[in-house]
Amino acid sequence: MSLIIFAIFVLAALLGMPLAFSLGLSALVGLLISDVDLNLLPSRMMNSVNAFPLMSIPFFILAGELMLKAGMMERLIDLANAVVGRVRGGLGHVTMLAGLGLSTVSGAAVADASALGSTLMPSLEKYYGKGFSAALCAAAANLGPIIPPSGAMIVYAFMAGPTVSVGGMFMAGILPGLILVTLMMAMVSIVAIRRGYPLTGEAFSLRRILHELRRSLLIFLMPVVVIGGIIGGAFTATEGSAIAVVLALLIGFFVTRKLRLADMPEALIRTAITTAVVGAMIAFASVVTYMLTIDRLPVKLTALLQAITTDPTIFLLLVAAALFVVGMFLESNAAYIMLVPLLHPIALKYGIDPLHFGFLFVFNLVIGMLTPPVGVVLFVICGISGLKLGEITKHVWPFVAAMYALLFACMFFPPLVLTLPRLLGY
Amino acid sequence: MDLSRYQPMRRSGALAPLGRVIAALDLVAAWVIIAMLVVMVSVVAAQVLLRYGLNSSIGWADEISRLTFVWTIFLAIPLGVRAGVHIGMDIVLEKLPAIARAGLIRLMALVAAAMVALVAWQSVLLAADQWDELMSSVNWSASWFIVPLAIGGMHSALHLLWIAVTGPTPIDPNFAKDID
Repeated sequence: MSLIIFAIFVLAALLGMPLAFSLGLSALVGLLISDVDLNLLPSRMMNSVNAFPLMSIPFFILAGELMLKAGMMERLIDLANAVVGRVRGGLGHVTMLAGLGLSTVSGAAVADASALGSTLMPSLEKYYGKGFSAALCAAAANLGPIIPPSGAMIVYAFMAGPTVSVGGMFMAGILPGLILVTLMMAMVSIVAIRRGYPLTGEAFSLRRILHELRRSLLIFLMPVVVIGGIIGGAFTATEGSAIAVVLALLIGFFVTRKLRLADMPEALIRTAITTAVVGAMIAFASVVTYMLTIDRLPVKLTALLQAITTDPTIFLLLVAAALFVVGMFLESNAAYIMLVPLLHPIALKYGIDPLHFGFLFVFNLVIGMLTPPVGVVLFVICGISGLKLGEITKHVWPFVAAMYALLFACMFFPPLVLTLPRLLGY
Repeated sequence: MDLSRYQPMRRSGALAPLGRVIAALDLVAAWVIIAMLVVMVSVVAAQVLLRYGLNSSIGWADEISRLTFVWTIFLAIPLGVRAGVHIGMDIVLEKLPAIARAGLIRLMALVAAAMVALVAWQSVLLAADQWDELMSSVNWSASWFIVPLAIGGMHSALHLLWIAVTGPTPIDPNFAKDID
């Protein structure tokens, strides 16, 4: 039965049916052929999203939307400019640091790509040409789901169940995220020197940095309060994300004064629709997962993999290879929803730390957002820059290579991922 | 407050009344969703503030915030169909000639419409069957958790049927840049 369900899902998806409805169709066929009562469909769908932890997804999306409307990007870019000073490829470094700052309040690469691309592309193009500029924005946007908060990590933790906490996943991403931004800035420097890009920006000034830091302080107050509160146990991830919305409203209305009441319906509807796109997949996929479970697919898959290898490292490499292929063709949320319930329990059987496996899984699919043919971050930047996919791919591959290098470093050296969560008791 | 995107999708011809009905449903759904999200944020934030400010809590906060979340998701799914933002693969579609592509999109929309209509019907049956069961923190029927599946399912089916009859929906420019 599992094969039939997969075949129908793949066929419907390839023929252009949205993934959520393809999942629903395959689940329905599964229910019909196994003669299970069809009212299982609405009850499982409702129960799958009737979950307090999932509510942090719309809250973090809304907080990010409000912060952008509140003029956060301008302040972040001013601060990044002050920190970078006057160097070769300066604007490239500014893009990376702005991406880092943005990722502390937003949890989605796609939203970050839109914000970075629309704000920075015009200036970047003047110095570096369209291709490299687009690649810079795409690579910087990919920090979004690695640095907390992260929508991808929330979905992963939810699908993995009680062995993975959202707070633990958030902490696992910090050190690799900081290493990644450093690696990417080093790549920007190398490219800038090799291509002879001009010096940009104003001379380094501590006074200017302090001034910009003061202006941006409230922006960084939000992740400090929210992430700090979650880690410190003051509130859950969902409560923290609701506090993030309240802080974003206060900052937008009373500090930057750029937010208007008239902006609210648009922001709320966009948040709801973005959440519903993920929610629909979770709801329909929950029925598919149930059908696969009664067909004992997880047990069969575990037996098959353990017959191939008992070495956890080889298992991790196999999963990485599978996710490399999956990431090229499948949107990442769909991949979390379908594959985490299958692969996470197997990883536990291999004795792999759940946070280590979770981070590698998320990072792998985040890199997939930068690889054609289905690289959603590339699509967003294509839309903004007017470039074809191939033109951006040519310039983005060094960043993708850096991300894979870091992925393998994290795979073979788990403390890179686990040190911070362990220090904080996860 | 600009929700002007929820205009009737076709203003003349035999489909005009259906276009008006769907647009009216869209507008109602949009306002309900806005209300649900406002309640959701307010209740969860108030719960934290009360816990630390007044050392008290709202007994129904968890259940009602989950209820508003469930309503938000299932009522927003059809608006996602209208905006053309539900994630799909176009590897095969983009290789087809325009007429074949449009035909395939219509066919898939029709199949999806039938599937979600069935979900909606099963939701009606389930909600009716469980109507006497009450939520744990308030004296409301637990079926209010299932009702949005019936409403959202029928609403989505109408949108998908519209696509099946009139052809593919262009992506809403408000979402074109930043929905994956």
